Amino acid sequence: MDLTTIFQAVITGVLMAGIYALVAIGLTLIFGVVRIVNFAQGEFVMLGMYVTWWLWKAGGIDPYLSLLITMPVLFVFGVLVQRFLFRPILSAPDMAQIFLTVGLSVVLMNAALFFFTADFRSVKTTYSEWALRVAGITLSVPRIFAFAGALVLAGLLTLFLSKTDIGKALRAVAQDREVSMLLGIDPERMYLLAVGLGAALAGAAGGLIVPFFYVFPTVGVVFVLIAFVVVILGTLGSIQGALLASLIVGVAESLGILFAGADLGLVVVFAILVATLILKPSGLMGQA
Amino acid sequence: MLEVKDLDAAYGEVMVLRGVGLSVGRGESVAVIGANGAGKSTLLRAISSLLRPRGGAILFDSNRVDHLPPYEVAALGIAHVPEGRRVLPDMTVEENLELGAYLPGPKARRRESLAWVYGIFPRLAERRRQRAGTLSGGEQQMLAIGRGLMLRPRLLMLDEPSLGLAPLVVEVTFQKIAEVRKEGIAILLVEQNVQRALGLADRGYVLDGGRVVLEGPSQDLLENPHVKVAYLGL
Ligand SMILES: Nc1ncnc2c1ncn2[C@@H]1O[C@H](COP(=O)(O)OP(=O)(O)OP(=O)(O)O)[C@@H](O)[C@H]1O
Ligand SMILES: [Mg+2]
Repeated sequence: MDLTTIFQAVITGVLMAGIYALVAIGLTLIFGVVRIVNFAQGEFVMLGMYVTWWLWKAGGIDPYLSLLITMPVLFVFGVLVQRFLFRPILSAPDMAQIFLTVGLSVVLMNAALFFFTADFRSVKTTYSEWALRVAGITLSVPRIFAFAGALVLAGLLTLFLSKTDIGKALRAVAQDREVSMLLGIDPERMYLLAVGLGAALAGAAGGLIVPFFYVFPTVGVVFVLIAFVVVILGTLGSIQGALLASLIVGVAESLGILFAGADLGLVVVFAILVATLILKPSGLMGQA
Repeated sequence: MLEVKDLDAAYGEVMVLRGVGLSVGRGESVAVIGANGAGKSTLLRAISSLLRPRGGAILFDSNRVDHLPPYEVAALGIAHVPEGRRVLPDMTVEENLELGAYLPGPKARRRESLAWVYGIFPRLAERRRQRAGTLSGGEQQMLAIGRGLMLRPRLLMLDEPSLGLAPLVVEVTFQKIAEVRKEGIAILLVEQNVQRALGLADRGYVLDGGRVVLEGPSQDLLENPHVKVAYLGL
């Protein structure tokens, strides 16, 4: 195996990392503010993919352009999930919350199966096959777009959280819910916003990969698993931490596929997860 | 301005406040003193609606406020500086202060209020870009009070501002509270430091086992034999 092949795998992993980061950031946003571990986050990605695919299929809308529709649609979906599913069980035991979000994930997968069948769908755009060749390495243009798009969205979210009053209010609720109320913040509204944003980010991740990634009802499973690994690796709640952890996970997966075969890329990711949990047993909820 | 009538409060089955009555007039400073577990914090939590009372009534400007959510109580101009300061550790000093003026009314006056608060607490101005979690205990207390002031409150409720601070820092903190008092803001001060609290306040209440057992002008309480024995260790 030559160096170029390895380098190619590394680049492919890096380019996927932005997407993984978006899903993970959505997950931590929801967990940080609402204190719910959303096992359905991967299905939010799947929904984003189907919405994008459907807009292209039925309306001929370019996948990147349809982000302008996909993200608001997923935002509203997230708001409804918070209002009608999460809110009633916020003070329920952890186990009930896990059942609820796992249940939601199963329901969404089956809904996709029912409405769209188990067929693998794909969106063929003029640029789907475009690629740049640099020093023997192939850089897929849609993958570059996905990476860049994810970085832009992560950057916008960072700005929103650090510069706007509403963004600061979200962070205040995450840091101390009671105090946030004393300052005049209504946490319930921030919960709606957090789940809406988390879903919109997942939907954007889905939309961004549609030009080079098959759409099928269970596609989200991989993303939620990877997002958990990223969240555990990265410092919880930090966008930069999520980006860095995503780079590690993306490259590890890609090298795993190269050395161990297409079905085993995830095994490498989980090896990292297990190693992290042994080294940092506080896991998902623990502080660095 | 604030009137608490026959207030009962509980955590689950455990009754913590029983028939508490208390009032704070416009611009008045009132102290609530009592031992550990007397229910002082619970009283403030009930007033700011963090805890729903079991019975009785809380009135602000003669309107019932005991069924409002906490963020609406804040909007009426009641700032609650909680026990243990509770600054937002991952945000800067200035971000903490800005969030104190999150509501629309206070937000419109945010710049002016910042200058005002920095005038009272020059130390906070020096540390405006520092993460609140890295401040000393005394600085965090100033930040917590400053954040409360950003609401432009008519009533400032302080829960044990002297908690865990060195005597010298307590001295400074109480000087600052006296300055705030001169601005005409009513103060409801909860303290275990009885000498200082009554030294600052116009009137005081003694809370014991969730009941008001004594009340009166600060000077009278300071001279009361029961207070002397039980709270001043004289
Ligand atoms: N969240 C809670 N759940 C159950 N009981 C509580 C809770 N908070 C306080 N208590 C109980 O209520 C009683 C009054 O507590 P409170 O915090 O109001 O007292 P305090 O006068 O503020 O005491 P301190 O001086 O220690 O702050 C105590 O017996 C305490 O154990
Ligand atoms: Mg207390």
